[in-house]
Amino acid sequence: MKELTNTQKIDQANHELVTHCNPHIDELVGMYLELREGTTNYQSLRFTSSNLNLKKQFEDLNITGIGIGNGEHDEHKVDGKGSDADSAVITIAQKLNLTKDPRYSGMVNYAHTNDSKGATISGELGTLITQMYYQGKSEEEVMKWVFEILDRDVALSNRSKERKSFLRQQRGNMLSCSEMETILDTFNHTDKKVKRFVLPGSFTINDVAAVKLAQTFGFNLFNTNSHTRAIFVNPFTYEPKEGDLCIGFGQDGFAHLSMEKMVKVLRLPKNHNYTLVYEYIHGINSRSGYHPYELASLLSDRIFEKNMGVGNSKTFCGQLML
Amino acid sequence: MWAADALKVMITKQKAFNRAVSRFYAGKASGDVKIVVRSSKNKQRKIKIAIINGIDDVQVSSVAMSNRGGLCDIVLLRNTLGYTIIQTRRNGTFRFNLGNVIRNLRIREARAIAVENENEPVIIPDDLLYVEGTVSAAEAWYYHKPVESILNGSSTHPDVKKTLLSLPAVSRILTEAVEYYLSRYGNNKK
Repeated sequence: MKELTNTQKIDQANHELVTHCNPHIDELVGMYLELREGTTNYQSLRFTSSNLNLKKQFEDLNITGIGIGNGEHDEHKVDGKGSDADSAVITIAQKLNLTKDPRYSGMVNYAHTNDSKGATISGELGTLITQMYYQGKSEEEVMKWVFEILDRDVALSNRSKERKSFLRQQRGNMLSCSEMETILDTFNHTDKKVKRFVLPGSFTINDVAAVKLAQTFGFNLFNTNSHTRAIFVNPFTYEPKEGDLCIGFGQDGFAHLSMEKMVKVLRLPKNHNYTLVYEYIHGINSRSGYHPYELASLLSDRIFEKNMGVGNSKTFCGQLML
Repeated sequence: MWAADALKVMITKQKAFNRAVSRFYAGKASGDVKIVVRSSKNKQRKIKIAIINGIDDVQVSSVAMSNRGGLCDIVLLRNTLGYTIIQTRRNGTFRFNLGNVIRNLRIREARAIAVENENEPVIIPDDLLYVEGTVSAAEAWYYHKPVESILNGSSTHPDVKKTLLSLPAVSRILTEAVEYYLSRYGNNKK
């Protein structure tokens, strides 16, 4: 399922769903809707680059183009002709009569707004997707990652109040600590002989951020050959071992400092590679409202689903990876 | 780790931006990045344009529009392959309208194609000169109206034909459109 680089290859396909290389959030959500709710049984998915008008070829070869091909689901007009919608996802949602369906309306509106007007905050799903391509991830990898999120969104769509309240609860945790200073401090004091970093299984985004920040400073926590590594445990059943350093739980005597304080205490340089993560996490701690498709909300949903055992979002996306 | 992967994306983004900042300043020193400022007659309104040549990192365009790049209002970037993009920065509710720029680019591109093919230029109807999207007689250029950007090639459509217009020609079309805007609207307080 790798890209076609020219239009000649298209005749090998039949009943294909095709979108352009590095598809944006609107094409990905559009594909998701078409695969999940559409009537066509697609044999394959493709990501391709194309020149102009492929409408006739697409029709002749049973190809549905999303954001490509100048057909009904392509918002990119040629000679003023094409879909009147500002994004591909709207045309598909309208065709499938899903614009007011509570399971999908949130993702459709978000994908449409993000595509037509751009992102409003740095941790938004649409922005993360774009950056994943810059990072070298393939379309398939990104699609799988996004479809998992969308599966969960659908599975939890009837529990919006609980999700919001869970996120507010999470925010309390997010406010409580960042362990970065502890980690760095530990590395500066080798006599502590830390063998393992122990994280709670229901870690918050702040804990994860701390670990990621540690990695940006060159600490490889997940290398099992290293003398220090990270493990995830259930805090209620965990039995401490010598050399364990608990992050975000336990009574190990390490101070819990905010990331803001940590940056000041350590006199970390401005404009360093961690700045965006730092500002995002700091923003989470100081904001009262959250975007439903920003990283904090997505992580909260993931933990909510795990903790509560709700929903049924099991590998729907797996079935679609043809 | 699911969230760690997402945070890694943000760290990668920041790294890329920091690299682009270095590239931007190196470009300024070497002449690859030029900043052009046009002012209204009463000097109340200024529009800053960054003209970037021979840089493949599109993040440099974001740098030019950021605080660290001097808050340029418009960026014209041509990479080493000859693909060209024009992007605009939103300043409050204002974003420079590239309607006249796309109009002139399409006319000039159609003429350049005719010269190359040694035939008569296609006359693009007036109502198509400003439309969003692509016009087949000058298919190198894609106009994205909601964010006022003009793209000749992008990561999502890498097979688009390269423009036949030189960077100075594109730059002249852009600066003339800015000058026209400033002469007409630049002296208004609003």
